[in-house]
Amino acid sequence: MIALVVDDSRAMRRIVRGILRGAGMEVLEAGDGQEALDVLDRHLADEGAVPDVACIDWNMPVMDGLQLVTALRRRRELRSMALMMVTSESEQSQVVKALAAGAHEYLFKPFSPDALLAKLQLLGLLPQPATAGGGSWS
Amino acid sequence: MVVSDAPVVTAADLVGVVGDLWRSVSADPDAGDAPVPAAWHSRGARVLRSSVAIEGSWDGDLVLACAPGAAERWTRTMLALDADEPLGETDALDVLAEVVNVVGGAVKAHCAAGGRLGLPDVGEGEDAGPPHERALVVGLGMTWPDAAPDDPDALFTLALVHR
Amino acid sequence: MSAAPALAPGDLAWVCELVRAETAVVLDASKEYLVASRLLPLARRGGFRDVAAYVSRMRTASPAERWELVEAMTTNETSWFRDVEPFTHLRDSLLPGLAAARAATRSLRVWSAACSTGQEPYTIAMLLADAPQLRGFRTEVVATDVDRTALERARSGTYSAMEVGRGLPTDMLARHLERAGLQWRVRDGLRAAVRFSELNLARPFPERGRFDVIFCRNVLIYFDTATKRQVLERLHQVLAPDGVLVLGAAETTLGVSGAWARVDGSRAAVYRPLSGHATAPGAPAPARPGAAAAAAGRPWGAPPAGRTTSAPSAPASPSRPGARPAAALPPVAAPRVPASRSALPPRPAVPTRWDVPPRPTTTPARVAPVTSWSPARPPRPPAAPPAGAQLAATPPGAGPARPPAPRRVPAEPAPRAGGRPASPRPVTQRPGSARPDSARPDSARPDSGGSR
Repeated sequence: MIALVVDDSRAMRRIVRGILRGAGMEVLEAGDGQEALDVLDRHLADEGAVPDVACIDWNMPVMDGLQLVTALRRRRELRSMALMMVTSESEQSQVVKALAAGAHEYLFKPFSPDALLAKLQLLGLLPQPATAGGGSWS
Repeated sequence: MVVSDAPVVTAADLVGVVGDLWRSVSADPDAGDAPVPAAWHSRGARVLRSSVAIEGSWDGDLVLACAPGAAERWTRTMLALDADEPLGETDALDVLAEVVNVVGGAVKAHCAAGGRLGLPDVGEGEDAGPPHERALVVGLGMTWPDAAPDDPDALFTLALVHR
Repeated sequence: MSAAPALAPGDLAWVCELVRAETAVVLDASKEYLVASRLLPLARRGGFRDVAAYVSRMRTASPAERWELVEAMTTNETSWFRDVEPFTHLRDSLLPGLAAARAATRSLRVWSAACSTGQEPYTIAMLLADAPQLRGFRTEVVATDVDRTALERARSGTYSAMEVGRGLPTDMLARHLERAGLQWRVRDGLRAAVRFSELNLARPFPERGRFDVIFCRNVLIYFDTATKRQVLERLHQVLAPDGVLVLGAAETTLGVSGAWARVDGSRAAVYRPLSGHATAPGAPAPARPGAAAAAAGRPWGAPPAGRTTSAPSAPASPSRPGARPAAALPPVAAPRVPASRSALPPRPAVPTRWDVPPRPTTTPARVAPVTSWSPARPPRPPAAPPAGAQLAATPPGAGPARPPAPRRVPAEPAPRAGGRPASPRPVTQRPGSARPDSARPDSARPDSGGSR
């Protein structure tokens, strides 16, 4: 599982990276929307694989998160990548705007690690708890 | 200053958002050590500062000013650095920028609907004391419950000011 | 916090790894006392001498028994769409099926039997409101809990931004909630669709009538077996014969009651009620059927040996493809005691959540709004920075803040220390120019990968 973390805050990238790595994901990073596109293109060229999820901050220099979501949704080959806003912008109108632009999920800062993992569960990217009826327990 | 546009953010709101942020990045969210109200910096105290512009139905700035010790505590907690790991001012300013970004975003919906946050500015200098009353919407000094009561190095302040 | 650790390092590591493997949640291994305090009630309830004995048993326990441990360590709050799968199953399978089955009455009742602060019943109400098959139906969500404070919160339908971030799909948030100051509130229409009331599951239910779906999640694990059996019995009585019971992830009726059959086709713990149950099918008649209960001191009106109800032992219902016959059960007969003649003495308040020690709540001090500054203490002369301060001091007299430094970030920092081994996968190098103004020695970190 591969995640792309886009945030101009080095601290926030580090925090999200830690949570995602703890969940077994490989993490790509970028500091703004344009850098994210560059990282993605490079990864596609080198590995031929589309990341499973992108965690995207809203307010960033050069290209902000909403612009990035719009740009990503225009690219057919990236349709399988889930787009999750991770931002302190929390107005109702902004949530609606992000969804309209094509974001799949929206996580408010501050968030607990559990909340980020729960979002990944909703997106089907994390295993759900095993059940007594025959889960994959060791 | 148009009073009717004045946002209704309170000091309690700030304490709440700061507490949520602290617990979300804290190694032990149950430790009960989220920041509590305290005094303001002394005039001339050295502070590291970050601020974010809030624009919308109301224009203003949220300003965070940390004494060096407070900045260090925020940084070590947010970056999960052990006490013996060195940290630089760049790390601290980056952390403080994110703190003001998070707090600003949380209160913005409450005070400037339909607007946007700017990108945080960071810097350092000497604190000029509490903002002038006419510009101040709400201002609050904070420290940690386990800090020495009169330790100015453990202080940080948040001020929401009219532009 | 006691000085002596309640949990041996090996046990602590085992618990942390189990939780990580099953839920991806990484516990802080440095907080041994927190882990131990959450395990203590489970150890007590299981009759273990101490936490160490409990963990020792858990190392060889079944997945279902272990799941109680995992739940205790990871669930400190309820959440929306908890575990996801049961709600997916509700939406994709249960609701369409029930809608068809109720075409005549066009009415559906769902009960959230341990609703806590309300996220579960509101989740259910959202799914009911969104279900196209239920258009024109009269739907009702009944939500109960034993905790009055939680019920008040639930009735208000108001949640913090952090709480709504926990498991609630964003499109649901956008459509079914609205901002209320700094918080979010369930919209009026949806709030009106849920009826909250206080109920102790361990006592007879006042509710009459049948439900089509009952959610009773992650609360039975706190009851002893006899109470569990009794609660399941009562749930059975108020559930429609073609309705379903939804338990928490990895919860099971197995070993407790033979009156249920697990529904296939979902990883979720969904059960159908079997008719004509009451005793363990196929279980050998015990010498003294009430012995276990009597020995525990409860005035349980156990039937004489060999007595069963008039209905035959529950076979697997042939009309339910995939329903499994219940396995052989321990030989304790659970008589069908009508609620009004329950022989049980009133129990002390049974928790529907935790009986761990209450967490210290950090309530922000009630601070009066500050519109003009009045310092709490007289101003003091600026103190010299403490010796050894990490942040380099500017020379005195540097004047007002210099122009803000650009916020763009330079060198890659070391990974967050979280007690986890470094990921074996390579770190992809990030583009951009390296700016060496971070003072931290990245080379000391194991997987700081790529040079910047």
